[in-house]
Amino acid sequence: MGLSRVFRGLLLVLLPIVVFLGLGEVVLRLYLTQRIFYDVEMSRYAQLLKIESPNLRIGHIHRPGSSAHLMGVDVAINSAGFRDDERRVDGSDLRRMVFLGDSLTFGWGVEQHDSFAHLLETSLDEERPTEILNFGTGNYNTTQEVELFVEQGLAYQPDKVVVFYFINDAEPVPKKSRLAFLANFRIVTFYWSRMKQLAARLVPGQTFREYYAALYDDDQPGWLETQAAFVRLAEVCRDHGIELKVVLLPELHALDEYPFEREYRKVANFLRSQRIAVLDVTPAFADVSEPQSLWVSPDDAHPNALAHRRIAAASREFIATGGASR
Amino acid sequence: MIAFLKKYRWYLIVSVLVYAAVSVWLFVATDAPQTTPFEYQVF
Repeated sequence: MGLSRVFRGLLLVLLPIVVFLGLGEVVLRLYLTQRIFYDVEMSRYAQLLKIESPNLRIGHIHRPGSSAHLMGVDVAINSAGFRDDERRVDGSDLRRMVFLGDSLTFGWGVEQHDSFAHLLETSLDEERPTEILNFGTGNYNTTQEVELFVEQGLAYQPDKVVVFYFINDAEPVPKKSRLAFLANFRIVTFYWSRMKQLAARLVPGQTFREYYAALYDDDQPGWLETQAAFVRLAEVCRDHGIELKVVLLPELHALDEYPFEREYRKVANFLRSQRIAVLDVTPAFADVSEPQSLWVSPDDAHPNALAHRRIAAASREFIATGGASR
Repeated sequence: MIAFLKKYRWYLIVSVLVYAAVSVWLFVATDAPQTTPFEYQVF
């Protein structure tokens, strides 16, 4: 009798939840045929295009040869695991550069031909035959980018490596969640993401400004790892006669009064102390009074095609100059 | 089970409707320009 009462109580609690989640999943999936949500698209990106890397310091890599329609654009991964054309590994007579970066360099939310990597390749190629290999991978930080370059990039024997650095690149290396299977349910992704947004409004220290700024406290492990990764990359490049440059990319929420000036100054000062050439392209965006005009969508502050064109234009000369030529 | 569903049908229906209403409110309340850091589902 007691057990039956407990079972009935559990059923009364769980049954409406299960029915709601089931119906919610169906309704949300139908709604998603009409509208794109950034958080759901990022979840699909992880499911469709990412796999675990055997190298724990890299964490995840792209599934070679995979493709998907994400954030409204087609994304195709080449046989080496990059959103790029097929490239020969062995010697090339062209000036060859490797671009390292995260989802911004990957070109999240824009067509491949609209990404700054492609625009720069086209532009630099007019000046001198040039090949740019885009190693940009969503969710990477500097440590992962450097590991990936050492593991795969060196084989391409580039003349130059350019790291495109974003404010969140000082985050620690992400770990796979044990609850990753829940990402199969759109309703779970929706609730998880929206609850975090709600918390950001109500709980102090949860907004992007506070979160990103706190990454650069001197004792933050992610920032310490970032510095170590840059030191290692500089050494590797020096040993192989490769020129190294870093471009700091803007966070696109407030551009006329940039909130991360202090943090980017700290990054730039560190890089200069390591004799690494650095360019902050944020000032090239200072005239933008409506930053959302440069966003992929209202719920996604990744740079759109217009912003990619600005990044390419602002960094072109810096990237083109100097370095050994073949 | 059928008897259970019949007995508590209004409780179950109202519960589902409450969850749905909360979801719609959450959707409307957070359907605004991004204000949180980039969040990625890595896997």
